[in-house]
Amino acid sequence: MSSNMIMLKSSDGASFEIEEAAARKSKIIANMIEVECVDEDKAIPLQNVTGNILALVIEYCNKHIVDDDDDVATEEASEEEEEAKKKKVDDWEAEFMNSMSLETMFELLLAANYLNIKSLIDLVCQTIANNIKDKTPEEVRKIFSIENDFTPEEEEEIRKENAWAFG
Amino acid sequence: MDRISQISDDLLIRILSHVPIKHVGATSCLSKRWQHLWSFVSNLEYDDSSHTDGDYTSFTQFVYRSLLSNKATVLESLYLTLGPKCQAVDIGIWIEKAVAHRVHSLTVNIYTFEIEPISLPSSLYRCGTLETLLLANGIHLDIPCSVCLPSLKILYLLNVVYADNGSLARLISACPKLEYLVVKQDKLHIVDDVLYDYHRIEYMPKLETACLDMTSHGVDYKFLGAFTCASRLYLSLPFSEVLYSSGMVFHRLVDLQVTTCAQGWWDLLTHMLQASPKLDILRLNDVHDPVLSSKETPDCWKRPSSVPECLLSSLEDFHKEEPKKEKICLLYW
Repeated sequence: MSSNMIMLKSSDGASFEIEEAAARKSKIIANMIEVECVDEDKAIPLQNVTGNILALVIEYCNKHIVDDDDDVATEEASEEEEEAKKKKVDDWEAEFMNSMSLETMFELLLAANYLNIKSLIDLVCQTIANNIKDKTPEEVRKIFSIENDFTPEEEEEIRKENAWAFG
Repeated sequence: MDRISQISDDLLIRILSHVPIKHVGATSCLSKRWQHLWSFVSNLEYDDSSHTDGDYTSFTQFVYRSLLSNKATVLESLYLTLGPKCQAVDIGIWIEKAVAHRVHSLTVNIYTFEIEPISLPSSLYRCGTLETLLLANGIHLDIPCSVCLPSLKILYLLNVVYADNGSLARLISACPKLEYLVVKQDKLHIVDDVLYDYHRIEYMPKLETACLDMTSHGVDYKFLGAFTCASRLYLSLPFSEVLYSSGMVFHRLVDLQVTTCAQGWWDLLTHMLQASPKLDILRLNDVHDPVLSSKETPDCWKRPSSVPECLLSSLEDFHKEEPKKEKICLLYW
């Protein structure tokens, strides 16, 4: 595994050094490395990601540096080892997501989407979903800053149509 | 929070695909933008056990409405977990819709044996896009000759009811890409009202557990002989005289439950005790209507010539539903 380091620069000018293997979690950065448009001395500018969010993305990538890519190696591990490893990752992810506000989650989701890191997109989507599933429509509107543009009659009609879902 | 308004519909749909279908339907009333977003969700999971109050038809209507209005270009997955109130015709339509929607992963679990096992539409067994298929419990697996699942990689068959001897072989040989196969049969469950040709049941050397509930059919020696390898038997059977001279031995049987309502259950029990040297646990199950209780009285019990071996050695546990009755093992002494 390569231990080349590359530099990333956030929209607000903060620079981060990251192992190439971790950076490759991002399809966008992986592509840049493939086509050799990464200059070792120059940082890759990421215009849509602020420093505090980029720090979170890097923390996530560093933690997931080994899994995903090496299916062959993991095949040899026993089932219990696999389970223990998975639980460790799950616990880490739960704590990682727990530590941030809903607003940060949305920012992280946009960054993960921009950098194209599928597993991080799924993790953030799942966490946001868990946050809204037991909420009333009013609470969900607040979370997503949604303006209710239905008339009371229209809203009533939709509620009736999907009565089971409102049960 | 103005960043939230930058979140594209695609990302919102991805968030919604992690929300249980029951809750995701409720997002249709949030605003005009959100009204139809949930119909693009590509993972649909329906479980009628989460539908606890109200009319069952409101559940089926919701499934129809959400499934038929789904606009995802490819249906990633459909989960159906359904109980005794489900209707075969509805399930057939839902599955056909999923097949037409190029479903990748399908799970059907009919978690009840109270209704006759359900046959799935034959179009399912010709679905070109299906990669994962899990069928469990009350499903009647009748595989058509035209079966062809070119993309199927993962197949689970858990306690399904096979329509004929060839079904499993036909299905598996029609899956050229199959990588992972789980076939599990926890117990053999034979009841009167399911269409088994029980005369064709043959000796099953690997059988662990069997539940035979056939109070309205006479069973013959050959039939019961097919189960002599089981370690657990639940019998609700009428007794027939031919068993006396059969000489069959249930050499692995450790756990026996006999229902005390079928004709001649007392003689069946006597016979089973004689024929089960390793029996550990005996349960008598009184399930029948108290009005008919006189039928259970063994008025012409034939005393066996010797004390069954299991009573002398291994039998440790005895359970009976009605405490008033004398412990039967005492009658031998």
